[in-house]
Amino acid sequence: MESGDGSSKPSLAAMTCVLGDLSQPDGSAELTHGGAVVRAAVYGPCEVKMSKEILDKATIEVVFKPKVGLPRCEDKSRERLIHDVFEAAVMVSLHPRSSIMIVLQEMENAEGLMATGVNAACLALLDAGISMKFLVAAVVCFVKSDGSLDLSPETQRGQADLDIVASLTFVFSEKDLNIMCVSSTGKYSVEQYDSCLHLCREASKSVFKFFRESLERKLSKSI
Amino acid sequence: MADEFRTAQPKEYYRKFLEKDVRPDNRELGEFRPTVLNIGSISTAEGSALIKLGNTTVICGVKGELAEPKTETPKEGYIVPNVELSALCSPQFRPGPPSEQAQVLSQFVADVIKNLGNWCGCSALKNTALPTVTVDEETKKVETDFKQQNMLHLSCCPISSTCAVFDDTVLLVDPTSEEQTLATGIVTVVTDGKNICCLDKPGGSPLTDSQMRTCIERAFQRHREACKLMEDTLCSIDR
Repeated sequence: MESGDGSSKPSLAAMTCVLGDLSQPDGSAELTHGGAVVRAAVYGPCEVKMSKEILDKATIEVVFKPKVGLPRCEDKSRERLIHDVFEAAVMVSLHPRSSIMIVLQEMENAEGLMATGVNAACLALLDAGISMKFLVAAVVCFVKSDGSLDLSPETQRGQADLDIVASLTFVFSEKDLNIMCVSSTGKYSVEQYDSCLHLCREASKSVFKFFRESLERKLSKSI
Repeated sequence: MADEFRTAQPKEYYRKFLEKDVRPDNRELGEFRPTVLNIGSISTAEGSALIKLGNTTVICGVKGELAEPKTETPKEGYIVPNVELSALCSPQFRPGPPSEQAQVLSQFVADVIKNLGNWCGCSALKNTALPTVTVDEETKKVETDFKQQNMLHLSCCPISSTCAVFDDTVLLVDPTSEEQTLATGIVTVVTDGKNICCLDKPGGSPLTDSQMRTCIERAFQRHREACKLMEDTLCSIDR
């Protein structure tokens, strides 16, 4: 995923994924992006708890498991974000009164965990063969204290980069690359927002390409 | 008749209004509900504020306490935001432990306060929540110290504003709870006047750049309006 031309333009860190390595779920993926590693599993469409049943569409359930300890408020807000993204992206009306469950396990925490989580969930849904209206790709962009932008900061393991003043996570839909979701930390100006958006939109194209290639590789057979 | 129509076909009912660029409560698409602000109404808290935005009322109190700092940040205080959605306020809320919605809101408030980036012993009042009908927000701060009163210094004053997306195209500023349930997406922008402090669009229908731009511009405009209201209110109380 490196830009390859040696230019100083910010580029995405390398991504690797393993599809369908878990035997019990209907679809699974482990995605490594930079320092962040997330494993995702998808079950469904299957039976739904009566209290969560929706008459005209499938219920999307998201569980985000932290590396250690019980889920906290942070994880709840991640769950909500992923839930809202995939409720719009998955064709929920195809499976009324059923449940599609997305389970995410944080394996390595680093900057951009949220984006890796969304991308892992998308790969797991593809692996499970759930029909979607469009693919989604998440890209995270960092604003440094000198105002420069970066897509893949070099952080030391377990140490937060003090140089980062803000981070923006964008989720794009493949159709027209419109903005599905934005979440941000830190303060930044409107101009910085615009340039981050532009940078992330360009980077999202390579994420979509990565999804396509990973799936092609998994589905192709040697003769 | 209109009431039956509203209950049976809420989306269709709203579309009829939106065709004419007006909302059922007589507001224009980009108009906020009337805002009422009262500062310092809880005498037992270090600082407090009550905000009414249409039928949404949020009351916020700040309690300061001497505590041991966290080991990761030995030189800093910390803030524990807590959003309570009481069952007295709306049938949407159930009594018992904090719902997922309350936890998500608490986290959102925590993120916004963290972005203030200042050292804090005790702190700003701020919130995003809903007693009576809807989700909405505002900010405020004040603080006391037994004999001498030290006003808490805030590095900036964040104001949030929310837009709902109706039918993937129409943007409704400051949605009521009814509008919010019908909406296909929500965008919340928190600004401090110069910068964006927090941008939150959790999924929902995809938006184009120009729609996002509109939300951000409206948030900056709202910041000016709200700051004026806040200053006026702060001037009118003596502490």
